[in-house]
Amino acid sequence: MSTATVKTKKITLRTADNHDFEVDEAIAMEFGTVRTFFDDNPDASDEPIPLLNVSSKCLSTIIEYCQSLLAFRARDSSSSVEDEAKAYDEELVKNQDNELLKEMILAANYLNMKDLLDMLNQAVADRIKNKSVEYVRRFFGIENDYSPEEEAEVRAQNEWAFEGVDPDDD
Amino acid sequence: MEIAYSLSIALQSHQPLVIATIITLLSLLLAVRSFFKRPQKSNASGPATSAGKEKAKEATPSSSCNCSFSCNGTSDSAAFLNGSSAGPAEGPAEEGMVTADVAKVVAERQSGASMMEQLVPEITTHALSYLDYPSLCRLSMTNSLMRKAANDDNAWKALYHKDFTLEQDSVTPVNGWKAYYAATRAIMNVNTEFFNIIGDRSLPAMSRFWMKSDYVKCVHASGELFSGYSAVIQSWQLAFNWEQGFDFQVRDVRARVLPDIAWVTMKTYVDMDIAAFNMTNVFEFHHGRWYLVHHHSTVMLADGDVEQHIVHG
Repeated sequence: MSTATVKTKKITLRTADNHDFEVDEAIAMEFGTVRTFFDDNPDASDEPIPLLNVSSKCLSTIIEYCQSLLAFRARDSSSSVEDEAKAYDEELVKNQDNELLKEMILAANYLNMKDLLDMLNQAVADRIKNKSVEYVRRFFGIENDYSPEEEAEVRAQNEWAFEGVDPDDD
Repeated sequence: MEIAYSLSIALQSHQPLVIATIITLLSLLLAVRSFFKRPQKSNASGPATSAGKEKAKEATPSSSCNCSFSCNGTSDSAAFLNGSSAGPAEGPAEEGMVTADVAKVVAERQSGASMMEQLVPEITTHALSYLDYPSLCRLSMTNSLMRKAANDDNAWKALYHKDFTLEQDSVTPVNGWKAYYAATRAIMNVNTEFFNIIGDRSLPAMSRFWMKSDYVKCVHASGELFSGYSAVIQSWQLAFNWEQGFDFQVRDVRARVLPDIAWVTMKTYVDMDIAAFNMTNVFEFHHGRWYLVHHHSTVMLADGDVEQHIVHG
Protein backbone atom coordinates (compact mmCIF):
# COMPACT_ATOMS: atom_id res chain seq x y z
CA MET A 1 0.00 0.00 0.00
CA SER A 2 2.84 2.38 -0.76
CA THR A 3 1.72 4.40 -3.73
CA ALA A 4 -1.92 4.33 -2.77
CA THR A 5 -2.66 7.62 -4.47
CA VAL A 6 -1.82 6.21 -7.87
CA LYS A 7 -3.70 2.97 -7.45
CA THR A 8 -6.88 4.21 -5.79
CA LYS A 9 -9.16 5.64 -8.37
CA LYS A 10 -11.14 8.64 -7.33
CA ILE A 11 -14.68 9.13 -8.42
CA THR A 12 -16.45 12.45 -8.30
CA LEU A 13 -20.02 12.60 -7.15
CA ARG A 14 -22.05 15.69 -7.71
CA THR A 15 -24.89 16.34 -5.34
CA ALA A 16 -28.19 18.00 -6.06
CA ASP A 17 -26.85 21.33 -4.80
CA ASN A 18 -23.89 21.12 -7.13
CA HIS A 19 -21.22 20.22 -4.62
CA ASP A 20 -18.62 17.77 -5.82
CA PHE A 21 -17.39 15.04 -3.57
CA GLU A 22 -14.34 13.06 -4.46
CA VAL A 23 -14.35 9.58 -3.03
CA ASP A 24 -12.34 6.44 -3.37
CA GLU A 25 -13.67 3.97 -5.84
CA ALA A 26 -14.23 1.48 -3.04
CA ILE A 27 -16.58 3.83 -1.30
CA ALA A 28 -18.38 4.80 -4.47
CA MET A 29 -18.98 1.16 -5.21
CA GLU A 30 -20.95 0.90 -1.96
CA PHE A 31 -23.58 2.98 -3.65
CA GLY A 32 -25.66 0.55 -5.62
CA THR A 33 -26.72 3.21 -8.05
CA VAL A 34 -23.14 4.20 -8.82
CA ARG A 35 -22.10 0.60 -9.16
CA THR A 36 -24.85 -0.08 -11.67
CA PHE A 37 -23.91 3.04 -13.53
CA PHE A 38 -20.36 1.80 -13.88
CA ASP A 39 -21.43 -1.64 -14.89
CA ASP A 40 -23.26 -0.07 -17.77
CA ASN A 41 -20.69 2.58 -18.64
CA PRO A 42 -17.21 1.40 -17.74
CA ASP A 43 -15.60 4.30 -19.56
CA ALA A 44 -17.40 7.12 -17.89
CA SER A 45 -15.28 7.13 -14.77
CA ASP A 46 -13.79 10.56 -15.26
CA GLU A 47 -16.92 12.61 -15.33
CA PRO A 48 -18.65 13.58 -12.14
CA ILE A 49 -21.65 11.44 -11.48
CA PRO A 50 -24.78 13.43 -10.75
CA LEU A 51 -26.79 12.36 -7.74
CA LEU A 52 -29.90 14.35 -8.27
CA ASN A 53 -31.72 13.35 -5.15
CA VAL A 54 -28.96 13.68 -2.59
CA SER A 55 -27.98 16.85 -0.78
CA SER A 56 -24.38 17.49 0.19
CA LYS A 57 -25.09 17.24 3.92
CA CYS A 58 -26.59 13.80 3.38
CA LEU A 59 -23.84 12.66 1.12
CA SER A 60 -21.10 13.68 3.49
CA THR A 61 -22.74 11.76 6.32
CA ILE A 62 -23.22 8.77 4.06
CA ILE A 63 -19.62 8.87 2.92
CA GLU A 64 -18.54 8.97 6.56
CA TYR A 65 -20.70 5.93 7.17
CA CYS A 66 -19.18 4.08 4.24
CA GLN A 67 -15.67 4.88 5.29
CA SER A 68 -16.21 3.44 8.72
CA LEU A 69 -18.10 0.50 7.23
CA LEU A 70 -15.18 -0.38 5.03
CA ALA A 71 -12.82 0.09 7.94
CA PHE A 72 -14.85 -2.30 10.08
CA ARG A 73 -15.00 -4.83 7.30
CA ALA A 74 -11.26 -4.69 6.80
CA ARG A 75 -10.85 -5.85 10.35
CA ASP A 76 -11.89 -9.35 11.24
CA SER A 77 -15.55 -10.18 11.52
CA SER A 78 -15.54 -11.07 15.19
CA SER A 79 -18.49 -10.24 17.37
CA SER A 80 -16.64 -7.48 19.19
CA VAL A 81 -16.05 -5.70 15.92
CA GLU A 82 -19.71 -6.16 15.09
CA ASP A 83 -20.68 -4.62 18.39
CA GLU A 84 -18.40 -1.71 17.72
CA ALA A 85 -19.95 -1.26 14.31
CA LYS A 86 -23.40 -1.33 15.83
CA ALA A 87 -22.40 1.23 18.44
CA TYR A 88 -21.01 3.43 15.70
CA ASP A 89 -24.28 3.18 13.79
CA GLU A 90 -26.23 4.15 16.86
CA GLU A 91 -24.02 7.13 17.48
CA LEU A 92 -24.42 8.22 13.91
CA VAL A 93 -28.18 8.30 13.99
CA LYS A 94 -28.55 9.45 17.57
CA ASN A 95 -27.32 12.93 16.85
CA GLN A 96 -29.22 13.42 13.66
CA ASP A 97 -32.35 15.43 13.83
CA ASN A 98 -35.48 13.98 12.31
CA GLU A 99 -35.17 16.01 9.12
CA LEU A 100 -31.75 14.74 8.30
CA LEU A 101 -32.77 11.21 9.14
CA LYS A 102 -35.57 11.40 6.65
CA GLU A 103 -33.33 12.91 3.99
CA MET A 104 -30.84 10.15 4.56
CA ILE A 105 -33.44 7.48 4.09
CA LEU A 106 -34.42 9.01 0.79
CA ALA A 107 -30.78 9.23 -0.20
CA ALA A 108 -30.02 5.68 0.88
CA ASN A 109 -32.98 4.47 -1.10
CA TYR A 110 -31.95 6.47 -4.15
CA LEU A 111 -28.39 5.25 -3.87
CA ASN A 112 -29.60 1.69 -3.39
CA MET A 113 -27.71 0.98 -0.18
CA LYS A 114 -29.56 -1.79 1.56
CA ASP A 115 -27.65 -1.93 4.85
CA LEU A 116 -27.82 1.77 5.47
CA LEU A 117 -31.49 1.78 4.58
CA ASP A 118 -32.13 -1.01 7.04
CA MET A 119 -30.31 0.77 9.79
CA LEU A 120 -32.03 4.08 9.16
CA ASN A 121 -35.48 2.53 8.91
CA GLN A 122 -34.95 0.82 12.22
CA ALA A 123 -33.78 4.08 13.77
CA VAL A 124 -36.88 5.91 12.60
CA ALA A 125 -39.10 3.07 13.81
CA ASP A 126 -37.45 3.26 17.22
CA ARG A 127 -37.96 6.98 17.35
CA ILE A 128 -41.69 6.84 16.87
CA LYS A 129 -42.18 3.80 19.04
CA ASN A 130 -44.45 4.41 22.01
CA LYS A 131 -45.01 7.99 21.07
CA SER A 132 -48.35 9.68 20.64
CA VAL A 133 -50.15 10.14 17.35
CA GLU A 134 -49.47 13.86 17.55
CA TYR A 135 -45.76 13.21 17.91
CA VAL A 136 -45.79 10.99 14.84
CA ARG A 137 -47.59 13.73 12.94
CA ARG A 138 -45.00 16.28 13.94
CA PHE A 139 -42.16 13.94 13.20
CA PHE A 140 -43.25 13.38 9.63
CA GLY A 141 -44.78 16.78 9.11
CA ILE A 142 -48.15 15.23 8.42
CA GLU A 143 -51.21 17.38 8.50
CA ASN A 144 -54.27 15.95 10.12
CA ASP A 145 -57.03 15.91 7.55
CA TYR A 146 -59.60 13.95 9.50
CA SER A 147 -62.89 15.49 10.41
CA PRO A 148 -63.79 15.00 14.09
CA GLU A 149 -66.16 12.16 13.19
CA GLU A 150 -63.57 10.45 11.02
CA GLU A 151 -60.99 10.85 13.72
CA ALA A 152 -63.26 9.24 16.29
CA GLU A 153 -64.00 6.43 13.86
CA VAL A 154 -60.34 5.77 13.19
CA ARG A 155 -59.56 5.90 16.87
CA ALA A 156 -62.27 3.33 17.58
CA GLN A 157 -61.05 1.08 14.80
CA ASN A 158 -57.55 1.06 16.17
CA GLU A 159 -58.44 0.81 19.81
CA TRP A 160 -57.54 -2.87 19.99
CA ALA A 161 -53.89 -2.01 19.59
CA PHE A 162 -53.81 0.15 22.69
CA GLU A 163 -55.60 -2.00 25.20
CA GLY A 164 -53.78 -1.98 28.47
CA VAL A 165 -51.38 0.67 27.24
CA ASP A 166 -50.98 4.01 28.94
CA PRO A 167 -52.68 6.89 27.16
CA ASP A 168 -50.74 9.01 24.72
CA ASP A 169 -47.69 10.59 26.13
CA ASP A 170 -44.94 12.45 24.48
CA MET B 1 -75.42 49.55 -41.29
CA GLU B 2 -74.97 47.29 -44.25
CA ILE B 3 -71.79 46.04 -42.76
CA ALA B 4 -73.43 45.39 -39.46
CA TYR B 5 -76.29 43.64 -41.23
CA SER B 6 -74.00 41.42 -43.28
CA LEU B 7 -71.90 40.74 -40.20
CA SER B 8 -74.89 39.59 -38.24
CA ILE B 9 -75.96 37.37 -41.12
CA ALA B 10 -72.49 35.93 -41.29
CA LEU B 11 -72.47 35.32 -37.57
CA GLN B 12 -75.82 33.62 -37.64
CA SER B 13 -74.94 31.34 -40.52
CA HIS B 14 -71.64 30.41 -39.07
CA GLN B 15 -72.89 30.19 -35.54
CA PRO B 16 -71.39 26.77 -34.75
CA LEU B 17 -68.04 27.91 -36.09
CA VAL B 18 -68.14 31.06 -34.02
CA ILE B 19 -69.01 29.19 -30.89
CA ALA B 20 -66.22 26.73 -31.55
CA THR B 21 -63.75 29.54 -32.02
CA ILE B 22 -64.78 31.22 -28.80
CA ILE B 23 -64.41 27.98 -26.90
CA THR B 24 -61.00 27.36 -28.41
CA LEU B 25 -59.84 30.83 -27.46
CA LEU B 26 -61.12 30.42 -23.92
CA SER B 27 -59.42 27.10 -23.42
CA LEU B 28 -56.23 28.49 -24.86
CA LEU B 29 -56.40 31.33 -22.38
CA LEU B 30 -56.94 28.91 -19.52
CA ALA B 31 -54.08 26.75 -20.68
CA VAL B 32 -51.74 29.69 -20.86
CA ARG B 33 -52.81 30.84 -17.42
CA SER B 34 -52.28 27.40 -15.93
CA PHE B 35 -48.83 27.23 -17.50
CA PHE B 36 -47.88 30.36 -15.64
CA LYS B 37 -49.39 29.11 -12.41
CA ARG B 38 -47.75 25.70 -12.60
CA PRO B 39 -44.55 26.37 -10.66
CA GLN B 40 -46.47 27.31 -7.53
CA LYS B 41 -49.15 24.72 -8.13
CA SER B 42 -46.71 21.85 -8.30
CA ASN B 43 -45.39 22.77 -4.89
CA ALA B 44 -48.82 22.52 -3.39
CA SER B 45 -50.15 19.54 -5.24
CA GLY B 46 -46.80 17.82 -5.37
CA PRO B 47 -46.54 17.09 -1.69
CA ALA B 48 -50.17 16.09 -1.45
CA THR B 49 -49.96 13.50 -4.17
CA SER B 50 -46.41 12.51 -3.57
CA ALA B 51 -47.12 12.20 0.11
CA GLY B 52 -49.80 9.71 -0.67
CA LYS B 53 -47.92 7.83 -3.29
CA GLU B 54 -44.54 8.20 -1.73
CA LYS B 55 -45.88 6.38 1.23
CA ALA B 56 -46.62 3.70 -1.22
CA LYS B 57 -43.04 3.53 -2.28
CA GLU B 58 -40.86 4.78 0.51
CA ALA B 59 -40.70 5.29 4.20
CA THR B 60 -42.81 8.06 5.58
CA PRO B 61 -39.78 10.36 5.83
CA SER B 62 -39.99 11.28 2.20
CA SER B 63 -43.43 12.76 2.53
CA SER B 64 -42.25 14.76 5.48
CA CYS B 65 -39.71 16.78 3.56
CA ASN B 66 -42.19 17.78 0.96
CA CYS B 67 -44.98 18.27 3.43
CA SER B 68 -43.00 20.37 5.83
CA PHE B 69 -42.17 22.70 3.04
CA SER B 70 -45.66 22.99 1.79
CA CYS B 71 -47.27 22.98 5.20
CA ASN B 72 -45.22 25.98 6.13
CA GLY B 73 -46.85 27.77 3.27
CA THR B 74 -46.46 27.51 -0.43
CA SER B 75 -45.61 31.17 -0.48
CA ASP B 76 -42.47 30.43 1.50
CA SER B 77 -41.21 27.79 -0.88
CA ALA B 78 -42.05 30.00 -3.82
CA ALA B 79 -40.06 32.76 -2.18
CA PHE B 80 -37.17 30.37 -1.65
CA LEU B 81 -37.25 29.33 -5.26
CA ASN B 82 -37.22 32.94 -6.33
CA GLY B 83 -34.41 33.57 -3.90
CA SER B 84 -32.34 30.79 -5.40
CA SER B 85 -32.87 31.99 -8.92
CA ALA B 86 -31.64 35.39 -7.82
CA GLY B 87 -28.32 33.69 -7.29
CA PRO B 88 -25.96 33.60 -4.32
CA ALA B 89 -25.95 36.88 -2.46
CA GLU B 90 -24.05 38.27 0.50
CA GLY B 91 -25.09 39.12 4.01
CA PRO B 92 -27.75 36.74 5.26
CA ALA B 93 -26.86 34.83 2.15
CA GLU B 94 -25.37 31.89 4.03
CA GLU B 95 -28.69 30.85 5.43
CA GLY B 96 -30.52 32.02 2.37
CA MET B 97 -28.27 29.98 0.14
CA VAL B 98 -28.66 26.88 2.21
CA THR B 99 -32.42 27.16 2.24
CA ALA B 100 -32.39 28.01 -1.43
CA ASP B 101 -30.26 24.97 -2.12
CA VAL B 102 -32.50 22.79 -0.04
CA ALA B 103 -35.52 24.24 -1.80
CA LYS B 104 -33.97 23.32 -5.10
CA VAL B 105 -33.32 19.86 -3.76
CA VAL B 106 -36.89 19.62 -2.62
CA ALA B 107 -38.13 20.75 -5.99
CA GLU B 108 -36.00 18.19 -7.69
CA ARG B 109 -36.89 15.56 -5.16
CA GLN B 110 -40.54 16.14 -5.85
CA SER B 111 -40.07 15.35 -9.48
CA GLY B 112 -37.69 12.54 -8.61
CA ALA B 113 -40.09 11.21 -6.06
CA SER B 114 -42.92 10.80 -8.49
CA MET B 115 -40.57 8.84 -10.71
CA MET B 116 -39.39 6.69 -7.84
CA GLU B 117 -42.82 5.95 -6.55
CA GLN B 118 -43.53 4.20 -9.79
CA LEU B 119 -40.38 2.16 -9.58
CA VAL B 120 -40.29 0.80 -6.04
CA PRO B 121 -43.66 0.23 -4.43
CA GLU B 122 -42.26 -2.61 -2.39
CA ILE B 123 -40.11 -0.21 -0.38
CA THR B 124 -43.18 0.79 1.60
CA THR B 125 -43.87 -2.69 2.83
CA HIS B 126 -40.22 -2.99 3.66
CA ALA B 127 -40.15 0.27 5.58
CA LEU B 128 -43.41 -0.41 7.38
CA SER B 129 -42.12 -3.81 8.43
CA TYR B 130 -39.86 -2.10 10.93
CA LEU B 131 -42.81 -0.78 12.89
CA ASP B 132 -44.58 -2.68 15.63
CA TYR B 133 -48.33 -2.93 15.57
CA PRO B 134 -49.11 0.02 17.86
CA SER B 135 -46.85 2.26 15.79
CA LEU B 136 -48.49 1.09 12.61
CA CYS B 137 -51.90 1.82 14.07
CA ARG B 138 -50.82 5.22 15.26
CA LEU B 139 -49.51 5.98 11.83
CA SER B 140 -52.88 5.18 10.34
CA MET B 141 -54.48 7.60 12.78
CA THR B 142 -52.40 10.55 11.68
CA ASN B 143 -53.91 11.33 8.33
CA SER B 144 -56.12 9.79 5.68
CA LEU B 145 -53.25 9.22 3.27
CA MET B 146 -51.19 7.53 5.96
CA ARG B 147 -54.17 5.44 6.83
CA LYS B 148 -54.25 3.98 3.36
CA ALA B 149 -50.57 3.22 3.51
CA ALA B 150 -50.48 1.95 7.07
CA ASN B 151 -53.44 -0.34 6.47
CA ASP B 152 -51.62 -2.01 3.64
CA ASP B 153 -52.56 -5.67 3.60
CA ASN B 154 -49.09 -6.97 2.88
CA ALA B 155 -47.57 -4.97 5.71
CA TRP B 156 -49.98 -6.53 8.18
CA LYS B 157 -49.43 -9.96 6.74
CA ALA B 158 -45.71 -9.55 7.25
CA LEU B 159 -46.30 -8.32 10.78
CA TYR B 160 -48.52 -11.33 11.44
CA HIS B 161 -45.79 -13.67 10.33
CA LYS B 162 -43.26 -11.83 12.41
CA ASP B 163 -45.28 -11.67 15.62
CA PHE B 164 -47.25 -14.88 15.54
CA THR B 165 -46.40 -17.62 13.13
CA LEU B 166 -45.20 -18.31 9.66
CA GLU B 167 -48.11 -20.66 9.24
CA GLN B 168 -51.26 -19.64 7.42
CA ASP B 169 -49.29 -18.09 4.65
CA SER B 170 -51.76 -19.28 2.05
CA VAL B 171 -54.74 -18.09 4.02
CA THR B 172 -56.69 -15.11 2.74
CA PRO B 173 -58.57 -13.58 5.66
CA VAL B 174 -62.04 -12.38 4.79
CA ASN B 175 -61.59 -8.92 6.27
CA GLY B 176 -57.97 -8.44 5.37
CA TRP B 177 -54.80 -9.08 7.29
CA LYS B 178 -55.05 -6.15 9.65
CA ALA B 179 -58.36 -7.39 11.00
CA TYR B 180 -56.94 -10.89 11.18
CA TYR B 181 -53.97 -9.63 13.11
CA ALA B 182 -56.25 -7.80 15.52
CA ALA B 183 -58.41 -10.87 16.01
CA THR B 184 -55.38 -13.07 16.58
CA ARG B 185 -53.97 -10.60 19.06
CA ALA B 186 -57.30 -10.65 20.91
CA ILE B 187 -57.39 -14.45 21.07
CA MET B 188 -53.81 -14.59 22.25
CA ASN B 189 -54.71 -12.24 25.08
CA VAL B 190 -57.73 -14.34 26.00
CA ASN B 191 -55.59 -17.44 26.00
CA THR B 192 -53.03 -15.79 28.23
CA GLU B 193 -55.83 -14.90 30.59
CA PHE B 194 -56.65 -18.60 30.82
CA PHE B 195 -53.22 -19.29 32.22
CA ASN B 196 -53.41 -16.30 34.53
CA ILE B 197 -56.60 -17.73 35.96
CA ILE B 198 -54.92 -21.07 36.52
CA GLY B 199 -51.98 -19.34 38.12
CA ASP B 200 -54.28 -17.37 40.41
CA ARG B 201 -56.35 -20.48 41.03
CA SER B 202 -59.44 -18.34 40.89
CA LEU B 203 -62.57 -20.41 40.55
CA PRO B 204 -64.89 -17.43 40.02
CA ALA B 205 -62.75 -16.27 37.14
CA MET B 206 -62.67 -19.75 35.64
CA SER B 207 -66.45 -19.95 35.99
CA ARG B 208 -66.81 -16.76 33.99
CA PHE B 209 -64.33 -17.92 31.42
CA TRP B 210 -66.22 -20.98 30.26
CA MET B 211 -69.38 -20.98 28.23
CA LYS B 212 -72.43 -22.02 30.23
CA SER B 213 -73.52 -24.86 27.96
CA ASP B 214 -73.97 -28.57 28.13
CA TYR B 215 -71.67 -29.27 25.21
CA VAL B 216 -68.50 -27.79 26.69
CA LYS B 217 -65.87 -30.37 27.50
CA CYS B 218 -62.60 -30.48 29.34
CA VAL B 219 -59.99 -33.21 29.16
CA HIS B 220 -57.36 -32.77 31.82
CA ALA B 221 -53.88 -34.18 31.57
CA SER B 222 -54.97 -37.00 33.84
CA GLY B 223 -57.01 -38.30 30.92
CA GLU B 224 -60.38 -37.65 32.53
CA LEU B 225 -63.10 -36.13 30.40
CA PHE B 226 -65.64 -33.77 31.92
CA SER B 227 -68.70 -32.84 29.96
CA GLY B 228 -71.10 -29.98 30.57
CA TYR B 229 -70.50 -26.69 32.31
CA SER B 230 -71.05 -27.80 35.94
CA ALA B 231 -68.84 -30.87 35.65
CA VAL B 232 -66.12 -28.88 33.98
CA ILE B 233 -66.10 -26.16 36.63
CA GLN B 234 -66.12 -28.78 39.35
CA SER B 235 -63.10 -30.43 37.82
CA TRP B 236 -61.26 -27.16 37.96
CA GLN B 237 -62.24 -26.70 41.56
CA LEU B 238 -60.55 -30.00 42.31
CA ALA B 239 -57.51 -29.00 40.32
CA PHE B 240 -57.23 -25.69 42.17
CA ASN B 241 -57.48 -27.41 45.53
CA TRP B 242 -54.09 -28.93 45.05
CA GLU B 243 -51.67 -27.22 47.32
CA GLN B 244 -48.87 -26.68 44.89
CA GLY B 245 -48.92 -23.64 42.80
CA PHE B 246 -47.95 -24.14 39.22
CA ASP B 247 -45.05 -22.42 37.69
CA PHE B 248 -45.45 -22.86 33.99
CA GLN B 249 -44.23 -21.56 30.72
CA VAL B 250 -46.34 -21.51 27.61
CA ARG B 251 -44.63 -21.73 24.25
CA ASP B 252 -45.41 -22.29 20.58
CA VAL B 253 -48.83 -20.74 20.81
CA ARG B 254 -50.62 -21.04 17.48
CA ALA B 255 -54.04 -19.62 16.88
CA ARG B 256 -56.51 -19.96 14.07
CA VAL B 257 -59.26 -17.39 14.21
CA LEU B 258 -62.52 -17.36 12.31
CA PRO B 259 -65.33 -14.88 12.89
CA ASP B 260 -67.14 -16.92 15.55
CA ILE B 261 -64.76 -19.69 16.47
CA ALA B 262 -61.08 -19.96 17.23
CA TRP B 263 -58.71 -22.61 18.41
CA VAL B 264 -55.34 -22.32 20.01
CA THR B 265 -52.67 -24.97 20.43
CA MET B 266 -49.77 -24.59 22.79
CA LYS B 267 -47.09 -26.37 24.71
CA THR B 268 -47.05 -25.88 28.45
CA TYR B 269 -43.98 -26.59 30.52
CA VAL B 270 -44.43 -26.92 34.25
CA ASP B 271 -41.72 -26.43 36.82
CA MET B 272 -38.85 -25.96 34.48
CA ASP B 273 -39.57 -28.65 31.91
CA ILE B 274 -40.18 -31.38 34.46
CA ALA B 275 -43.62 -31.91 33.03
CA ALA B 276 -44.75 -30.83 29.60
CA PHE B 277 -48.19 -30.82 28.05
CA ASN B 278 -49.71 -30.33 24.66
CA MET B 279 -52.86 -28.29 25.04
CA THR B 280 -55.70 -27.24 22.82
CA ASN B 281 -58.28 -24.58 23.58
CA VAL B 282 -61.36 -23.91 21.50
CA PHE B 283 -63.25 -20.64 21.87
CA GLU B 284 -66.59 -19.38 20.66
CA PHE B 285 -67.49 -15.76 20.20
CA HIS B 286 -70.75 -14.65 21.78
CA HIS B 287 -72.08 -11.33 23.03
CA GLY B 288 -68.91 -9.51 22.18
CA ARG B 289 -66.43 -11.78 23.92
CA TRP B 290 -64.68 -15.10 23.56
CA TYR B 291 -65.77 -18.03 25.71
CA LEU B 292 -63.82 -21.23 26.26
CA VAL B 293 -65.80 -24.25 25.07
CA HIS B 294 -63.18 -26.97 24.91
CA HIS B 295 -59.91 -27.66 26.64
CA HIS B 296 -57.74 -30.70 26.04
CA SER B 297 -54.44 -31.41 27.70
CA THR B 298 -52.10 -34.31 26.99
CA VAL B 299 -48.81 -35.20 28.56
CA MET B 300 -46.00 -34.58 26.14
CA LEU B 301 -43.70 -37.54 25.79
CA ALA B 302 -40.23 -36.77 27.05
CA ASP B 303 -38.40 -37.89 23.97
CA GLY B 304 -41.27 -37.14 21.65
CA ASP B 305 -41.33 -40.70 20.48
CA VAL B 306 -44.92 -41.22 19.45
CA GLU B 307 -44.43 -44.47 17.54
CA GLN B 308 -42.94 -46.22 20.54
CA HIS B 309 -45.90 -45.22 22.67
CA ILE B 310 -48.36 -46.65 20.20
CA VAL B 311 -46.46 -49.95 20.01
CA HIS B 312 -46.43 -50.26 23.78
CA GLY B 313 -50.04 -49.10 24.19
